[in-house]
Amino acid sequence: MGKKVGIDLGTTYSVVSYVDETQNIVNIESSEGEKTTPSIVFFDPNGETVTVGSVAREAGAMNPECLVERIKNYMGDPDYRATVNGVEYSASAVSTLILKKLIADAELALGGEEIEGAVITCPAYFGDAARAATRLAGENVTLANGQPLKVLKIMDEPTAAAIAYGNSRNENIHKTVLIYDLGGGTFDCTVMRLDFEGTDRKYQVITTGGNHQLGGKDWDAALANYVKDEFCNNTGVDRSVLDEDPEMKAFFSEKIEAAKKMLTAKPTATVTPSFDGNKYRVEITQEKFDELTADLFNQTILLIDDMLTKKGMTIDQIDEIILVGGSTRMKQVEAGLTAQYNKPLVSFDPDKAVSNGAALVASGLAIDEATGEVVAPTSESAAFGGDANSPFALSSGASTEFAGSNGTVNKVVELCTKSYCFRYYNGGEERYYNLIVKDTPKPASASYAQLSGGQGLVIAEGNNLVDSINLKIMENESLNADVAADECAELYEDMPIAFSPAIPASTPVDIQLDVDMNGQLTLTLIEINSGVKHVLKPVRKGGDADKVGMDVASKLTLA
Amino acid sequence: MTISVFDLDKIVIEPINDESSNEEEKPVIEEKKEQPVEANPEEKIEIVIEETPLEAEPVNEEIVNEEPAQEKPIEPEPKYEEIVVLLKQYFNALRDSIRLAKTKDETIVKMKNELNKYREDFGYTLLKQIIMGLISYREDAKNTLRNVAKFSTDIETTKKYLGYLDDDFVEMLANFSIEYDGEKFLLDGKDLATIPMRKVDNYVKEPETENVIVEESDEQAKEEGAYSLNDVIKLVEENKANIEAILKDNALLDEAYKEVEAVAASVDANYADALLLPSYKIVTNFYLKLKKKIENTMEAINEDNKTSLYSDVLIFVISSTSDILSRLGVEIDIDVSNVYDMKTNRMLKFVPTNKEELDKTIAFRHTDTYLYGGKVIYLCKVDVYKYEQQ
Repeated sequence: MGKKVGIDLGTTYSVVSYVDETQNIVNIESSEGEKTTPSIVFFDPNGETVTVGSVAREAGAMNPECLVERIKNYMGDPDYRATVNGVEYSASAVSTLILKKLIADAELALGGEEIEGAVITCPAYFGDAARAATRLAGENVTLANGQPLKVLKIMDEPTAAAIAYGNSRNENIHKTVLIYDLGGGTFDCTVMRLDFEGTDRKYQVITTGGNHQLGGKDWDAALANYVKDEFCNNTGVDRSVLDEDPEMKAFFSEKIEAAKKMLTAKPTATVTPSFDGNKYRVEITQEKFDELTADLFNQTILLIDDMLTKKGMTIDQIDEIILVGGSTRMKQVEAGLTAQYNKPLVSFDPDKAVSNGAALVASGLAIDEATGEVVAPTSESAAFGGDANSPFALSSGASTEFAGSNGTVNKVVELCTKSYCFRYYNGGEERYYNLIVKDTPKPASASYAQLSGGQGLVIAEGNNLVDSINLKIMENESLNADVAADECAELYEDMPIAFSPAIPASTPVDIQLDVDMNGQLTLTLIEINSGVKHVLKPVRKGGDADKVGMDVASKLTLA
Repeated sequence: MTISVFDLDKIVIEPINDESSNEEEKPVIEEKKEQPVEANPEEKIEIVIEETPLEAEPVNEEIVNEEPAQEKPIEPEPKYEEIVVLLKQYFNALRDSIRLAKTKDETIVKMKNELNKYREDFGYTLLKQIIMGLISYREDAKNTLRNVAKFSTDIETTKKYLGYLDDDFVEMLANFSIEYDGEKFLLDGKDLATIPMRKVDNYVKEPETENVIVEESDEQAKEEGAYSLNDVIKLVEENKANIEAILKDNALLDEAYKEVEAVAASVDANYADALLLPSYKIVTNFYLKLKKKIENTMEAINEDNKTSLYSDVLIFVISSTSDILSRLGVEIDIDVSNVYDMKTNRMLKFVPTNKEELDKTIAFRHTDTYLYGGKVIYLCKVDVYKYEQQ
C-alpha cells in the first residue's frame, strides 16, 4: 500500500505533505532541500526539458521569455495561453508540470514508495471551471510506475487549514471562525463554522472573499520603494538608473525580504544600499513599515468587511481568527487585526497548514481496486491497517465525511462557490433566474417550481408545436433569484433538447438543477403532465481548452 | 525482536486413526487416509483451521510411541471449536503485531534518520542567521573594495563609510540578540563572557522498545514442526505474554516517539547554547578587533592614504570573515567553473558577445559561492556572456 499525499498548489509556493505510520504529518522537502517549492516553470529552449522551482527562477534569468509564474491565477480560463518556445499551454498544462516536480520529489523522499493518490487544494473561490482544470492537471501527472496520479479530491484551502487546526484540538468547539490567508501573492478570507461535539466534528464554509492579486510581494515592493527613495534623496543617485541596475535589483530583492523578516522579530531593520560610490544606511522602524503598508493591510480589512456584509453578517458573529500563509507572520497583521476586530487570533505553521490539512484528509481515503474510485474504507480493509490508523477516512455518499481516530466523525459541508441561473422568457423579455445561489451547501438541488412558489413554466409562447429548444445555463455571483444578463458569465454551451414527437408550446414544464459533491451540474427539464424527463449535463465552453499543450507537457522531462 | 508466531495457514490437523474414533465423523482434511495407519512418533500432526466444523468426536491425537500407551494417562482432547476460538482470539492481535513488527523496525529506522537529519539540519538552522549575516557582510565589503576609490573620494566620506562598517556589524550582532554596551557584550541581557560554554552531549536517547524474544518456542516450532492439540493450546498460552508485550510495544513506540520529540525540542535549550555560544564568541572577538582597527584608521587617515587605509580595513574584514565562516563549516568556492550553472550561479545580466565560444560562460563574478554540508547556500552572482550574431 502506497502513500497518499496532500498538495497545497500555491500561486507562488507549493507544499507536499503526508501522514506517516505514527500519525505524524511530514512535510516533504524538494530535491533542492526546501520545504516549499516555488510555483515557477522554466521551459528549456531545447524543447525537451523543464525546470520547476527555485532553480527555474535562475534559469529564467537567461531566458525570461521561457519562464511562467503565478499560473494559478489563470486556472479554468479558456482564453488563457502561455506561449513558450512556439508551443501554447493552458494553465492546466503548466500546473501539470509543477505537480510533476512535486510528485517526483515526493517519490524521491519516500524512497521509492508508491504514491497512491493526492488531495490537491484550491482557493475556496475557485468555480467549477478552475476546479476541473486543477483536477485535470493532477490527472495528467505520470508516476514513476507509469500510472497516472490519482486525484482523490480537490479540497478548499481554508477547509484544509481548518482541518489541520481541528486536528490540533481535542475539545468540544462551537465556533464561527474567520480564516485570514495572506500568502506571497494572494489574499483569501473565509468564514467557517466549526462544530466539534464529542466524536462528531463538522466543518462548514459559510462564505468566501479575497483578492488574488494582493500578497506579501506588495509589502516587499512598498518597503523597497521607500528604501530606494531614501537612498536616492540622500545621495543624489538617479532613481531610474538605480532601478535598472541588475546588481541593485538583486541587492534589493535579498535585503528587503531580510529586512521584512527582521521586523517580525525586532523593532528596527537597516538596509545599506551601495551604488556608484554611494552608501547610505536606511533605518526602518516597525512604525515606518506599518505606515508604508497601511493601505495594503486596510485592503484586507475592506475585503473582509465586504464579504461579511454581502452575507448579511457582522464581525460580532466571528469567534476567532485563524491566520494562514507566511505573510501573516508580519507583526502588522496580528496587531492590525486585533485593533480592528478585537478577536482571538490563532496561528499555527502558517506556511504548511493547508498542505497538512490536505494530507490528513488524503491519509484516510481508500481506493476501490476494481473501479479505481475513491471509497470509504470498509471495516475489513481498515482492519488490515490500510487506513484504520488514519485520523480521517472519507466516506462516499452525499456528504464529505471523515471517520477520525478514536471514533471521531468529521464532516465537511462544502458550498457552491457560484450561483447558477437559467434563461427564460417572460412576455418576450429574456430573463435569468438563479436556481442555485452561491454558498448553498453541496450537494444542492432546486427547481423553478419550488423556488417560484408554484409559478409555472411552459416550453414557449404561443400554440405551435415545438420539436426542439435550447436551454442556457450561466454562472454568476449574485445571491438574488433574479439576475441581470450582464452579471452572468456564459461558461456553458447551449443545451439542445429535442421533442419527438413535437409537443405543444404551452406544455407545462419545470427545470431542476443539481450540483453534486464535486461541483458537477445536472439540468433536468421535466414535462409536468407526462412526467418525461430530459436530463442534461452542462458542458463548459472551451472545456477542451484546459487540454491545450497537455500532450506536449506530458512528454517534457524534468531537468 | 523475534516473535514466536506460528504460521496459522500451515497448521493442519490430521487425526490419528485409533479404535475409539469413528471414521465417518472425521473432519474434512487435505490428506485423507483411507487405511488406518499405525501411529508413528515421527509422523507430523497438522492442524486445520477455519474448515467446516467438525462433527466427529474429538480425536485422541496423542502420539503413540513404540511402547504401548496404555500405561500412560490419556489427556482429554480439547474440542476443535475451542482451538478455533482460542486461535481467533489471538488472530487479530497476531495479525496486527505481524504488521506492526514489519513497520515498527522501519519506523524506528526512520525516526533515527530523522533525528540525525534534525541534528545535522539543526546545526545549520541555528547557525544560519550568523552565517548568512557574515556572508552578506563579507560580500558588501568585497563589493566596496572593488570600487574603493569611488567610495573614498574625501576624508569625511571615507570616515562615514568606515563608521558604517562598525554600525552594520553592530546591527548584525543585534540580530543575534547581542548588544555591545561599550565594555561588554550582552546576550539577552546577560554578559556573554560569563555564560558558561556547554559541552555538546548526546541528548537524544534511542527510542526504547521491549525486546521479548521467545526463541525457544521458535526453535521448538522449527525443530519439531509437530503439535498436538494440547501443544497448540500451550503454544498459544506461552505466546500470550509475547502478544501482550507486542501490544504494549506499540504503546511504547508511541511514547518513545513522543519522548524523542520532547528531547529534540529540549535540544533548543541545550544543544543550541552549546553550538551558538562559541560562534558568538568568535564573532564578538572579531568585532573588537575590527572596532580597534577602524578607530586606528580614523586617527591615521589623511588625504593621501584614505583609499589605501580604507582598503586595508576592507581586506581585514574579508579575510577575517572568510576565516570565521570556515570555522563555522562554510566552504567558500572561489575556484569554480567558468561555465554558467544555474544550480550554483545567479545571473544578474547578459553581456553580449560576438564570440560564440564565450556563449553562456561567466563574464564577471560579483560574489563567491558558499556551501554548507555540500549544499549551496548562497549562489554566486554573475554576469553571463550571451552570443549574438553580428
